[in-house]
Amino acid sequence: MGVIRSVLAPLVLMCLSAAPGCAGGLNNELSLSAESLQQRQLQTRKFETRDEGRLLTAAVGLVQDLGFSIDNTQPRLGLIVGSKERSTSSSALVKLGLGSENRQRIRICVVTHPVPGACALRVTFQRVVMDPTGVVLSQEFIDDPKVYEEFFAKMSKAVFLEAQQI
Amino acid sequence: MKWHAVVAAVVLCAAGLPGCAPSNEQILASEESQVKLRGMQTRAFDTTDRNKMLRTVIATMQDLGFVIDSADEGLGTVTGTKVSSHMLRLTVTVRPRGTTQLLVRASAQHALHAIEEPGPYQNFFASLEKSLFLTAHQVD
Repeated sequence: MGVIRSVLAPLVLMCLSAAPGCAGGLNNELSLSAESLQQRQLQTRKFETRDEGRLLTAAVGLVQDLGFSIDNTQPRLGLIVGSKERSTSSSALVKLGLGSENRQRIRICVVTHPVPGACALRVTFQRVVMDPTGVVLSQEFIDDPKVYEEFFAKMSKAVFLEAQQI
Repeated sequence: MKWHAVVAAVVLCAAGLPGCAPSNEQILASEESQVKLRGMQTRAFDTTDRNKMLRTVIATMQDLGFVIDSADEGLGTVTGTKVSSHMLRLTVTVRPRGTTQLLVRASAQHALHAIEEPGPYQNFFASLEKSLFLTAHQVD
């Protein structure tokens, strides 16, 4: 009996975990969390322009500056989506040939929308880390405030460069 | 000892684990009836501003932690992916209903399954209602 139990128990657990009925934990994934507002503030800045098209053009320039390829744009919805694949190591290590063989796929999504007297821009990042054979090791939403602060510092510069047509 | 192996093999097959050729059954499979599925995934809103609805859908999905993969204003579709403890993919479509309403439909998949329970969709539409300041009407 002990043998049967040891064989069946993990299989039953596997079946249960793969069953579609496990949506209980998923309910929360489509609910607003307590951190939603805080996250939105971190990811959003207002720019003093009513020209949404120009802000989007500046954002496309910045997304390219950051080495992303543009995957999808929808100007009428204020949307830019891009991605890039890089080593998981710092570029200094990669240049020295000491980088990790694992790679990360980083996705960026920029969304603009008009607000009274200005335009708001929200950016979000996601990262998937894979081993050299493409097996996914981890995936995460990037919530490091430093990343967003740096992005918006560069965005301000991009808006200036766009205005100067550089 | 042999029958231990037989029991394990039977359970493995029942669980649909590897060992057989991919089944075509999955291509057009859905667990729920089409009408029931559409009912739980769709709500009507009293507005005709499609562009604003699509922009609000995008904003709501961002609030929920999704990164948008693609959007199409012409067809009225938005698709995004959320990576957290679960890997979720959500597609939302917006289309007119009569002359005074918009129909919004959300469909999500998690891992290898379509989500066909009402709970996650109720939560999504509750989030969308908050962003829109409009009430979501159940569609008959």
